[in-house]
Amino acid sequence: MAEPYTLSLSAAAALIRRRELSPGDYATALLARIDAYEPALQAWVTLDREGALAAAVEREQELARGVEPGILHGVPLALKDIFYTAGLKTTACSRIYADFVPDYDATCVARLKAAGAVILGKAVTTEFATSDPSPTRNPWNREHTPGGSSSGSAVAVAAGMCPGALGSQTGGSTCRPAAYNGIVGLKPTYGRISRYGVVPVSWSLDTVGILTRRVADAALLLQAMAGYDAKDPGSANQPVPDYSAEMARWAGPPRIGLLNKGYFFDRATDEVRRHTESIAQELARAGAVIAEMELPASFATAADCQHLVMNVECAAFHEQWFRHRADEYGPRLRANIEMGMLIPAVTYLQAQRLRRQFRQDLTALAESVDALLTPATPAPAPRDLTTTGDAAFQAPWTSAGLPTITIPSGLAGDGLPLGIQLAAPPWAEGRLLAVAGWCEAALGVDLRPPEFSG
Amino acid sequence: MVDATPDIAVETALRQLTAQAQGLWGADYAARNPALLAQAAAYVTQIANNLPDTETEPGFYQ
Repeated sequence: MAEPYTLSLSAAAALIRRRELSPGDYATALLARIDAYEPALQAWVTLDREGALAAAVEREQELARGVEPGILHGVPLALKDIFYTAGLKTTACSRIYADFVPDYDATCVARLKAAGAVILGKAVTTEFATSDPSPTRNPWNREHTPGGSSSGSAVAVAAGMCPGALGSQTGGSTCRPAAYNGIVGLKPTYGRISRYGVVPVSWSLDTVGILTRRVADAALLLQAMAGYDAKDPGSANQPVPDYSAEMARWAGPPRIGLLNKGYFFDRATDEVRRHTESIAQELARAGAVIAEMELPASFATAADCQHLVMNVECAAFHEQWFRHRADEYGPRLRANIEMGMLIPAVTYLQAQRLRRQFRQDLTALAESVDALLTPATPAPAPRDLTTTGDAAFQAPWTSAGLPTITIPSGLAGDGLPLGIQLAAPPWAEGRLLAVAGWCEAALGVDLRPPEFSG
Repeated sequence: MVDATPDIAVETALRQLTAQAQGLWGADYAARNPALLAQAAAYVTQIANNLPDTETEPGFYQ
């Protein structure tokens, strides 16, 4: 059998189910790998060694008793440190929440546990999941940002410390770090996964995100967590299909809309433009129908609306502490809050109106093909540890609430990963995952950072 | 549809935001944070000058 850290989440789950991989041995192997690489990468805030091993042993005993395993039975995961975990610190990597120990699990965490997952611990986030850089390093080159805000989650998966992790996305915090670290990032439709028990940035934008090595792994994690939750006012009462079955049923090849005019290609570097064009050609050679498409006029304000709404809602959440403890916030978050406090209420509401129109326009565009295609980021991860990079290619989709997925597609000239981003209409995650899985197979790209592949 | 475009200038928005910031955080705030205020004014102007159809209501939870 392959080294446990090289296994995809789906492969590990299948081996555990067949009792060819012991959950205890798997968790132990990953904890040893974390011990070896954590000093260099700083991906974890809290490692729950005892809790994880106890849960893994319990999963083993359940298998021995003949208990029907859940879809994540014995699979170790990381949680961004904004997800409430009963009895385990949830700091949001902030001074304000430094000693906060929730007395319940976030709904999505409870659902992961119910599916059999083993929680290894809490991964580093930028402060309150915003934009002051975290200490986490990019395993492809530690002088480059790993992205954010789900920096620890992305790095833990990329370095083989765990096969999957939870992140979140308010602007570009799941798909951007996924692309910067050469892994898969899935941002489902807004409302698909409950936010109950998740420290918020912005109530009307926050989306639970998924980070894995393979597309099929993201489908499994989504399956475990998706579905209505009355405790989350943004949760949608939409049917949840069998995502793995939708992927398996997909006949392909897909019809893909390439957004190579305006916003995305204007902002991308020459290298990223050429790379994305070459990927589109490669997909076409594999049978995909590539249609060049233009963005709706309402796209012009999409990113501005996302920034503005995020800052205002962030200011509203933090106001109670910020009034007396402003000096305990990082400079970028402090600026976000201050800007949010200045924006007129009327402008905030106009931005919410524009978001609704944008969502309708973008949904119509996405419904005309199987998926829309853009570069994942304007450039590979910058060689700059004072930034988390550029969320410009994620923010519009987050603003519209549409589902997106980033998959690795190659390496840039500087050796850092590049990715492509696919988008679909609301609630069409099954189709999005199927198209992404088809592209993943057609491209045959599986990236592993050389320094952390041994 | 009624034409309701307010046509706000960025200078106007910046002046209003600066006055509000000075009221909240002191007279020197604008001098210390020119980029933040300029960005906020740009957002306000961009949104005010690109309003949706008058029939469009806010989405909030989509």
